Amino acid sequence: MSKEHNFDFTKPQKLEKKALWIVLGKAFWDIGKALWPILVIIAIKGPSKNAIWFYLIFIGIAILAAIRLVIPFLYYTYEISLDELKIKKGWLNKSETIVKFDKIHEVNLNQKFIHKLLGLYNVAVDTAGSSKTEIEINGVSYHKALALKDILTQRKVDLKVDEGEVEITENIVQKDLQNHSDSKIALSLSSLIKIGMTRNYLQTFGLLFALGFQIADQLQSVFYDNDESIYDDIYTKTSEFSIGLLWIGLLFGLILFVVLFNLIRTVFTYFNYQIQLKNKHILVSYGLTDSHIISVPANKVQLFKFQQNYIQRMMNLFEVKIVQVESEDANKKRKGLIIPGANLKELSQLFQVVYSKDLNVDIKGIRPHIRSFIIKTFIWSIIFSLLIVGLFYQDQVEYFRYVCLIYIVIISLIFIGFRNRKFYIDGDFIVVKQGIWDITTTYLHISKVQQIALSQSFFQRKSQLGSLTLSTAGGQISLSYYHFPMLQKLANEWMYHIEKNKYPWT
Amino acid sequence: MFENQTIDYNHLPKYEEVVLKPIHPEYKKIVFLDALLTLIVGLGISVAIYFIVDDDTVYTYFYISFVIALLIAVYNLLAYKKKCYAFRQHDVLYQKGLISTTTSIVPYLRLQHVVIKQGWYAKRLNLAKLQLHTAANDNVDITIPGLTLEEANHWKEFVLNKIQEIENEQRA
Repeated sequence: MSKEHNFDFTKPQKLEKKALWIVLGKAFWDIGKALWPILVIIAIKGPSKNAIWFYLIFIGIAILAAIRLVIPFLYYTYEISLDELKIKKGWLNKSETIVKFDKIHEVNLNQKFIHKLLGLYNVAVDTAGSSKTEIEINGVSYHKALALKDILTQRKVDLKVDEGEVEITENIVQKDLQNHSDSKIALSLSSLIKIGMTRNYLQTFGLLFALGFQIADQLQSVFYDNDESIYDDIYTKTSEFSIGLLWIGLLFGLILFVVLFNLIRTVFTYFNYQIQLKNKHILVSYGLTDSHIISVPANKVQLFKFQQNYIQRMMNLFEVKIVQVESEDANKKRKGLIIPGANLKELSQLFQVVYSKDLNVDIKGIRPHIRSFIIKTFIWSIIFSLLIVGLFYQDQVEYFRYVCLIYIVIISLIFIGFRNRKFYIDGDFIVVKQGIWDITTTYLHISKVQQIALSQSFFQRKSQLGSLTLSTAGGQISLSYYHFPMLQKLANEWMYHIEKNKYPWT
Repeated sequence: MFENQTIDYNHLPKYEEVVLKPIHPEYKKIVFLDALLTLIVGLGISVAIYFIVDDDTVYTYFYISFVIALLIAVYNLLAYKKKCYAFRQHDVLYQKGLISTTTSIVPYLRLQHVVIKQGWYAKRLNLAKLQLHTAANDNVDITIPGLTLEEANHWKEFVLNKIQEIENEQRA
């Protein structure tokens, strides 16, 4: 850090004056979102006689709301004394929050679009243990934010020598790519585009599919009488050749749209993605409109996941998700770090940093018992036979082939899912592989396990099958339809390891 | 001195061989009351639907909520006997489930806090439940119902002592 930026955090610090715009901007955005139908009506109708009163009330509410926001803003201060961060709030009702450095879990810097315009950051301080006291200092200038992050985290990792963190952070943000050391991964625009074209097809496609039905229904209610159906029309029109061609064109357009939509979203979210790998520490910065600087200490990682679909496999791309402690209260923020694209080498590097161990991708796993497939098939068969019986009674036999087709598709998807589902044990790691299109591999270190639950149903007793669920602070892993004595043996072994070694989980 | 002896799996403690303690027989009364309430609510909804919906088809479905309530009540009445627990030296076991038996194991090392809860009826019976919270999400934390208040307090003290012991050890 250069010397011209010297901040004295021992004195109470106020938020930047510019940060008021963030508060006001957010308030206007919220009000606008709530009131837009009324505003639209007013705009369409034009001014009426009573409008002046309406405007007065409106302005009055706006002013009151603004005052309500400005006062807390003016009375918000933060300061650092010896080993704690102190935050004071309130004008009449004063409150003071004190956080000891050793309770600070991580400090992340985030920017929304408005922050970016103003050149400010939101400093989010995660505290260990109770997730209820999450602290955000919304509106700190860039250098001050880095200095703050530095102080708050550096004290914490006093034992580890963590010098020059700010320099590194600055380098990352300033796109300083001069030293191409092995410990730095950057996603170029071209690889982001590659990634954007290959991820999250299913979600977007499903969304568009639902949207299509909705539009058809709307058209039906507007243009068609009750006894006609838009689908009949679509069906007959489609059988004509030229319109059939049009349909195919439309389908291609749709696919193109999905791909483009994903592409744009990916590029916007993960623009200028840079990862800094250090000893037991990952530092990431990314974002075009909203930007983030996030650090992940290795010991806080609960689950390490990477996924790949068939196309990504051909391109040697993985999507990596590193799950940290997740809080389950209202703010629903999932504390996971997503690295949208990494090749095998980079993936291994990340894995190496987190677990100090080489990643071994090709290991043969154990599949669940075939009964897991049979039972799912059985359930779906019942559903579909009911459907067919229903159709039969309604004399709509011509739909049988569609029903059968869907049935076959579902069963084959279940079968693929069954074939892909494997688990194996790799030293102290439990590894689960699953998925139908996107194959996700999840690594869980035994030390992160909070609870083991084993269950066996009445029907499984004879065939000695059962399931096991491992709960962590970042989610669960389940092994279903495996040989129950084997699961029991594993549970006993894992418990022994946890209790004997007294593994800490953070 | 550093030791590294070979571990034979057959000598590891086995959770499935632990003798679990069933919960207090008085807990039956709470289950009965709960079942009764469930039945009343189910019946109430059914009756309400029957009288409010003015349609001939009501005969085909008005009883559904009562049947569901009945199933839940019967299940609970049968299932409560299956609830049992054990406190081991390093972890706590809790078992439940009628059709599918689930055994949860939580090491004391992972416990964050322990809470005793008592409903109004449980208070009259001098019963309490013990909630053992870990950092795991998805609401998988163990709750042992049907302990006497003394038992609950005893186990709470026991667990808190264990947690303290572990903390002291880790500091040292």
